[in-house]
Amino acid sequence: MKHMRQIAIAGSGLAMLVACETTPVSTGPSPEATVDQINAIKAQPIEEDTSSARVEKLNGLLATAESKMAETVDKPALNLAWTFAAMTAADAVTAIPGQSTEAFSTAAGKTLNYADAASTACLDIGASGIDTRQGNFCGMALAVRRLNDSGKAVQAFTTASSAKDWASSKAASEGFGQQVSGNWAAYADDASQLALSEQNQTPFTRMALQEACEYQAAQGQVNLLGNPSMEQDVRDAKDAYWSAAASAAAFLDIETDAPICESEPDSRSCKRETEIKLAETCQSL
Amino acid sequence: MTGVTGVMFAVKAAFNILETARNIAEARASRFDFDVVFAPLPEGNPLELARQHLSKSENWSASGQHNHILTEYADCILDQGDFGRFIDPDSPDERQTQLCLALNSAFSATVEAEELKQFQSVDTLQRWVDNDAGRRDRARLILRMSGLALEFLSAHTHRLGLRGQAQTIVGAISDSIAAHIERHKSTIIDTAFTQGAGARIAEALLTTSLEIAETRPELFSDKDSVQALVRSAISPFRELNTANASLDLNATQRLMKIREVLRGPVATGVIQTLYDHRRDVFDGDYPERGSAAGIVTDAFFEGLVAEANEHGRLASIFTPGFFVRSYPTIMQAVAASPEAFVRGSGQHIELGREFLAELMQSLSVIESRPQLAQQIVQMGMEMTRRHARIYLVDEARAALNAELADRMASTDSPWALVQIKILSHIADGMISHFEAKGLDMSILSRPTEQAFILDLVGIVADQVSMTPGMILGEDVNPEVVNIAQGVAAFIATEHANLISRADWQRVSAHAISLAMSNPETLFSLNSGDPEDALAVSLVKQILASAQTSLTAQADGAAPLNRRAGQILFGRTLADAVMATLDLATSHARQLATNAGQEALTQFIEQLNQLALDQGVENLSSQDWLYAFRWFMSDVVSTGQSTISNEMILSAVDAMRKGRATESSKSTDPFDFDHIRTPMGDPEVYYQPVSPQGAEG
Repeated sequence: MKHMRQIAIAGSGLAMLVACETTPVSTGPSPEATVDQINAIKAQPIEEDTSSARVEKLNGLLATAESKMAETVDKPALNLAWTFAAMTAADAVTAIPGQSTEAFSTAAGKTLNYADAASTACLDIGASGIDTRQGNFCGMALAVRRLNDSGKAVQAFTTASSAKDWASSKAASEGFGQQVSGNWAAYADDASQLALSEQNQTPFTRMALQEACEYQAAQGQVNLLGNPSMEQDVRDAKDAYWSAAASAAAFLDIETDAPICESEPDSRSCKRETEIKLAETCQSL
Repeated sequence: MTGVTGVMFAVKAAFNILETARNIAEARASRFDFDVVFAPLPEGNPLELARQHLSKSENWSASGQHNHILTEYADCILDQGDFGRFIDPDSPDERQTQLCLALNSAFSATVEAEELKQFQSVDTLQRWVDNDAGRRDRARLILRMSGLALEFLSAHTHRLGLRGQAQTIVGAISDSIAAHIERHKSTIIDTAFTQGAGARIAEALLTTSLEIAETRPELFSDKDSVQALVRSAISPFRELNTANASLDLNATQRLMKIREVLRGPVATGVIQTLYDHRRDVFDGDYPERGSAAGIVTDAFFEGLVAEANEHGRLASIFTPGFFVRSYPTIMQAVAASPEAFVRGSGQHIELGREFLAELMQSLSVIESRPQLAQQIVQMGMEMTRRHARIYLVDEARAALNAELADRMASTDSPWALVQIKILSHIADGMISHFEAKGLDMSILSRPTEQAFILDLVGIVADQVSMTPGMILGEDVNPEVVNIAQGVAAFIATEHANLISRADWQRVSAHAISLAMSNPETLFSLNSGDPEDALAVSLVKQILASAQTSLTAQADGAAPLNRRAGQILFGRTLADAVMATLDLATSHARQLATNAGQEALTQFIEQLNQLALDQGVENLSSQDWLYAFRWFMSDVVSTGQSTISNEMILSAVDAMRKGRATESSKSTDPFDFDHIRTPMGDPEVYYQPVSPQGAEG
């Protein structure tokens, strides 16, 4: 099963503290180092390692992060960092191709669980308690939580459209549209509650665009809009897709200059033009 | 004991530092930065791209230059109205490919870079990766290195927060802006909506804000300390603003200048002000001046202020060099006030303080690890030398107390109680002397040696009990204590190891016996220092002379290498000492002079050299002692060692003949073995036989 959303989170190492250079301190693995390792594994070319070996390594790091989470329950800031690391590890597992459905589901479930846990921790800490850097964590965790179901919708759309199950394709697109109007909008509330800075919200914006692009790319792969059939179920599936894609574009402030959108913003033609603008935006990244 | 106290302090400090480092690492880890890197989207489907190009209305306007494509490829394009155009999947593949290429050639990406800006997240996140956090961590570690200070500071930074005053400040600024507008109304009207109006308004706002902040710090806080902080922070900005008012700087240049001010004058001003008002700023939470935390915090602050004033820039302060420069200051501050770190009283506490002070002082000047090791070893040796005797004396006292307790338990007679009291006095006198003057460590380092001290006490006590006038009621005559201290003094002399413990007991018993019989002679009460007593002085002279001769005779080897002719040590030396003490009872005046003592010393060295030259066949240890006793009174009386070697050997020869004659009649008169043991009966032991008499 292919994971539609791929997020690589690379921990950029801070310069080593000069004072620590002169004071040998052994503190065991840190969340930072763990995330670095996760990204190093993800960055390896496929041919250097088999997928199973990568999954094994990532699961080892995931277990480390989970263990540290349990050890640091009385240190909210550190616990949050380890939760974030666990989320990153689980998410990285989902991005490895060739896994069993069960393994993928387990990792995806953990990704969501840890995103939920981190998000809850952030909201518990509150706007006055988190600093800018924790804001980055929180912004990311909330983004994963709020976008997780969008990925599922994309996956369902891909599966149904590939099977030419147009009713299910339509339902999946409608589900994607509901995610945009529901969970995506809810992120804005979370961010407001935590007073997240513009920078801290950037990951969500970028990840939401990624989801929209995945959705648009899936359409291209299954060639829904290039299907010449004029059957109603196909037309309905196309309309549902255009509506969902257009709403995502609107959420992301992606607009077209097409005159039809001035005169008939809710028309199919406007939605078609908007979807093309979304596609161009994705291709430009 | 006390050494352990000092070591434990160092160990605790080390753990403290390690713990801090770990906490910093954890804290750092909890807010590490990350990049968000997104995987590339799947490769575009050519048919999908063709669909987008064909369906985008903008590409096919009435005057569009590429409209010919629709005509040229009409055979493979499906147009479904508002469902868009796309490539007919049933058209020949070759035609589909040609159409795709034509479309790609005609229509490039139309998304502007500006439109993508909001999605370019990676660079944005990187902004948070700066060195400020590293500096804070370094500062924290440095403070923790000094033990306590940073924790305090970081825990109280909220006191600098101004959140609660925001509304007041905004209101004040608004009022001032209104006044500013009122004053400059005509100018504002004249320049409004002209080029640069926005910048001028911003300039006015900034100027007004800074003016308020500096001139009315009471809006921030009622506390003088906070007001001072605000002034110190704002003043450089205001000066900068004034200086730049006439300059045409763009936003980047202005930002750069603000950053320079922030890291320079503002930071140093805040640091200085924070130090000046530290006790006010932190209210009652600032550590007491004399406390451990106060000392190191003050020391750190002082170092920080000095650094700030010297370098003038924050970036120059929190560098590895700052740690190196601040470290000695903090260490010296600790060294100057060890009592704040090691609390309590008693010898072990004093040692702990001394240990800490020495350690800190050493650390403050250390430059390299080998040097550190050497310094610590030297310090440890010195500390041991100075304090070992305290431990040993403590041990001796403990042994004495145990002995006294035993005696108390074993008898209930009135005399026993008096005896115990006497013993206490005597023992305390001796031990106090050891404590004050030092002692060869080997003397008290083993239980057998402690028993030796107790034996000496017993000897004194026995002599006292049998000497009228030495017991006063239930106490002892002060002379007894003087004698005891004197005995302790010559046992503690530098070359005491030339005489065995058993012989020292004989010497001590003899000296005590003489002292009891000859008041105020050997151990005068007039002497403030027991070492100034005649007996002590003589013993030291003789032992020193013996050591000198043995060293010379050893010819570079260890002094006591049992070379032929080496005589004056052990039993012989002890007998010589006793003979000298005998002589001192009748020649005290002469022996008290330098001339008398020097003449005696020269005579001893002459005899030693003669023994070495003649060999044991001509001058044995017994012969040496005989000659010494025979001529010593003349030497001391005249103050000159003028006895010829021939005369000495002649006297020895005569003595040998006389001894042979008398051997069947009596015990060797020069044999000191019959000196009574400490618990034995007193008796006369010295019956000299003159050479002349022997000859005759």
